[in-house]
Amino acid sequence: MGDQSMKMTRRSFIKACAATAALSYSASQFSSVFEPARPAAAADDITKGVKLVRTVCAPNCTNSCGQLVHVKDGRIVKVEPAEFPDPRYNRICLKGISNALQRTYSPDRVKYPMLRVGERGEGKWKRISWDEAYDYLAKKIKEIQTKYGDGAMAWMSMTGDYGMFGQAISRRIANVMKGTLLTNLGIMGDLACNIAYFPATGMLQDGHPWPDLMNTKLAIFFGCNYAETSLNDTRFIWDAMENGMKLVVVDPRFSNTAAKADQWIAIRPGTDAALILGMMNVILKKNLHKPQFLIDNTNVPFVIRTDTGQFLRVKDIQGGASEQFMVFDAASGELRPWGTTPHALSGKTKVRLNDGKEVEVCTAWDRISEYIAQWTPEKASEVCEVPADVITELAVEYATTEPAAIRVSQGINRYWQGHQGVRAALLLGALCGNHGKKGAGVSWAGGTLFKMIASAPSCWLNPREKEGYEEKVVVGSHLFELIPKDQPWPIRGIWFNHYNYATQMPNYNRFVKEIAPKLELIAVNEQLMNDATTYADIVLPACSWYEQEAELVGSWSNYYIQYRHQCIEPLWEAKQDHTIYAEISERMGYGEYWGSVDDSINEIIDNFVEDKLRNIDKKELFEKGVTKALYPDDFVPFADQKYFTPSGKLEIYQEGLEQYGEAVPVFEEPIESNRNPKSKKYPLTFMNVHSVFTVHSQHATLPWIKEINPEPRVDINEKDAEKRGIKNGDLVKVFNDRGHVVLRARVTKGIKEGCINIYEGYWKKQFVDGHLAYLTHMELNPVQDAVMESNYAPYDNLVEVEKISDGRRDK
Amino acid sequence: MSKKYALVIDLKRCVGCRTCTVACKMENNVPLGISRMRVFNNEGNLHFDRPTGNYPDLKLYWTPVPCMHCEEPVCVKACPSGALYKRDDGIVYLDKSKCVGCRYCSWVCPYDVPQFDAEQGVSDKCTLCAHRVEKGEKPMCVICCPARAIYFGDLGDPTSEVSKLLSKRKNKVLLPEQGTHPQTRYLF
Repeated sequence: MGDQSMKMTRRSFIKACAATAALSYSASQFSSVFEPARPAAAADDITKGVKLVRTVCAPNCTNSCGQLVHVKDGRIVKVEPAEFPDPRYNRICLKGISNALQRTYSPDRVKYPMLRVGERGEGKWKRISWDEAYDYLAKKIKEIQTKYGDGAMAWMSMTGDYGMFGQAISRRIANVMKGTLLTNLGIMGDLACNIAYFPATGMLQDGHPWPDLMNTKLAIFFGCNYAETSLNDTRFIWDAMENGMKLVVVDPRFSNTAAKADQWIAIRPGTDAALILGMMNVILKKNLHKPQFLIDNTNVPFVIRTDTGQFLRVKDIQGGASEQFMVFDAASGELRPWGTTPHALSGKTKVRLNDGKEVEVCTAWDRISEYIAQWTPEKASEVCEVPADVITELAVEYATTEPAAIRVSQGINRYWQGHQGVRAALLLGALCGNHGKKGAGVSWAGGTLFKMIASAPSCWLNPREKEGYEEKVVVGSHLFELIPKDQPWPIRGIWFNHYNYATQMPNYNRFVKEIAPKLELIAVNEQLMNDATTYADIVLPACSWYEQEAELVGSWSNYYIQYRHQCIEPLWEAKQDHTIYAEISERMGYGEYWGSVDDSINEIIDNFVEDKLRNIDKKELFEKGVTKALYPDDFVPFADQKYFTPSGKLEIYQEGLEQYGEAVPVFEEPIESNRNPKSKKYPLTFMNVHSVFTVHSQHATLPWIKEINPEPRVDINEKDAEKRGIKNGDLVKVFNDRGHVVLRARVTKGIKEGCINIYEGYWKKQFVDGHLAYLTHMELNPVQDAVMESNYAPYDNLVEVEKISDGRRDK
Repeated sequence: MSKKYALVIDLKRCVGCRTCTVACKMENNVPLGISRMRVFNNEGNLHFDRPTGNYPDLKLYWTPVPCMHCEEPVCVKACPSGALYKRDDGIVYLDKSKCVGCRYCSWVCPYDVPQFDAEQGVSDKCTLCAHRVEKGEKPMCVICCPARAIYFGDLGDPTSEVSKLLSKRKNKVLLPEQGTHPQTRYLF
């Protein structure tokens, strides 16, 4: 980390002081409309008459911090880190604090049900009662379902509240109402990691628990900026570094995490797979790999037909129905059914199929290693713009350090072919025998949360299951293709919850122009009058989590499950989404299907598919607010080398993807790579990474957050800026054929040339003009659709930047 | 023996998230526009962090600046009303009820720590969360720091966690040439 010399002088303090003065100017605009978080009184007086309630903050940072909430006279006056059985998880952050004190009591809160009275987008609203709201909604939903079919009414959730209800309630209400669920995993832009992880391991995601880094000697992070995005987990990284772990961060940005690392590898955006292929080339050439691990624990020794790329099965040559894979006998080199003999990693022969055709066969490994052989460090370097000697050194270091851990995250998954980097990383881990090993592994994300979602019982998700009702599901990332064409059936109403789609969805202009006109009902449950409400017909006031009756919350950070206790009564006329859907179900005559919040929580826990979740200590959960799922403290994913795949092995080779040319983990250029012909017009890759200051749009406008992060900036490399005559602080326009956004530039050395970044999450009003959601596309990816569903690629968009004017804008 | 309470801040662990700034504002009811715990980046700014150095050998780091709780506090000497005083436990305390709002403390402090609370017309500054410390609790910035970069303890006690850290790790004070002998220390 080097010598962080503090050349702080009186002069720099005065400079900083000047910045503070500017800050106070910009902040003063709030004082008239914003109540102070706490009454002006000496701090110690505040503690008298305070009720303490343990609850859970869960805004999709995935940390799920427990909060000890101080409530006085029915108002939140303070939050502190709540206690966990393992005190290392007692934690909180700037967002959780600001959320509790300022978002809960924001002047932007949706206080009452609001009905649109002007044109869509005009911002004219009428306060109505809940009764009127339900009348309106019930009438509209009935009309739509009668006219176009039950499936014409759809529901969609996102991650605005990362609990069980937040994630799954749209599916349940859609089923109760016989409507359509619009899935959210792809359009969320988080799915490409899973698209790689799931077919290979049988798990959507898993990862080593953070404390396992204490066993690690070398960690390589691909696209992981935990210091901003998983802030409260970073203490484990710094602990591990104090324990001697070396940290290498691969990222086009000199992120806050890269700033802490021993080595930063600045990579061209979206080319991580090329870097990893180059590393594997070095490892194989130097014979540093572990063939026995590949033989024992992966599907690469299985024999494939070279003509089709499909696995050779017993039935193909012996007749019958056996789907068993074939391998080469280790001693004789003869073909044998898998499992009957110790097998080899490599082999080549010709076989006669049942139909008499003679085909050439080899092992999947032969094909994979042949592909890797093309990726010399020089070729990889030409693609990913990391020097060849750096690739070689990193490869040797990874292959010769034990144990060495790889972590992948959203930074590499947000390109159109974002699954490729993760598939390459899984292969690299296998090559060096690192899966299932303490202090090693290829971690995507662990913890309870995704296990809970994947394990959610169908009886709760689909209360009509007993009737044999089949769920109607439409892939959310396909909505631009399907809804305008009435495919696969007409959709004429969407009821959103937990989703500020207006700032977070791809190509929002397309939603406004092509989807909204099709919709006869846009209903939104929201806490704040944010951009999601702009085009809505009706906005319903949703509770903050402090007001909710209860909720069940997992986390990506650890193996705890938490119970969210109510801290304060719902403010104004806000209701919990669960209650809103209970009441509309009742109004529509489906009340029997819904039940209370308590019923739901008990039904979910009692019927979790996974017994480690189902058999938790419910009494402890409800009383203490936190209990541990039944995973051992030293849990290591795949430690027994059992994968949840059809073969039970780590399935590196994917025969089903042969038709797309991706049976082998490959690298292809991002769809809007900055080497694409389109880059002549729009030369810069546009990233929009998450900041430490907000989780999506949730905290971006809160006064304390704005004090420390007053406005959006576009990060541009100083050379790219110079070419365009842009200086730090200049007003610039970022644009492409899809739209534009106008904001100030942060000219920096901390981003690679050829790409720019704007932190995501800002509201439209925080830009001078436009919004970053206008710049991105939702091009479908057939490979991803074949595995799960297309993933939104927010970092895979070309743009140009031009200067508008000098210096600071006048207020 | 009297105590010498202090913060010891580990710059290797600080990630510049500004949770300390916000936690302090909540705990101490600090008005918008001023701060008792400012986090300066390597360019000496409070926001829009940018690395310095030559690509790709860049540096990006942060320095959280609470009150230095100096052993020779010039603000105390300058305070005409007795609102500022050095306590036996080492805390440089500001009694806002006695402050007359003359701002001499802001003028003399080499660290620009005291800031003017325009709502109350008086100075405002870090008290090391004296109200918490008196109850045996740690300052709010310490318990909220996500990176666990801020330690609190008694520098006068050689067996305290902070004393042990200082004996083990390279450390420094800000602007030592000012001669104020800050108790706030930085590990680097």
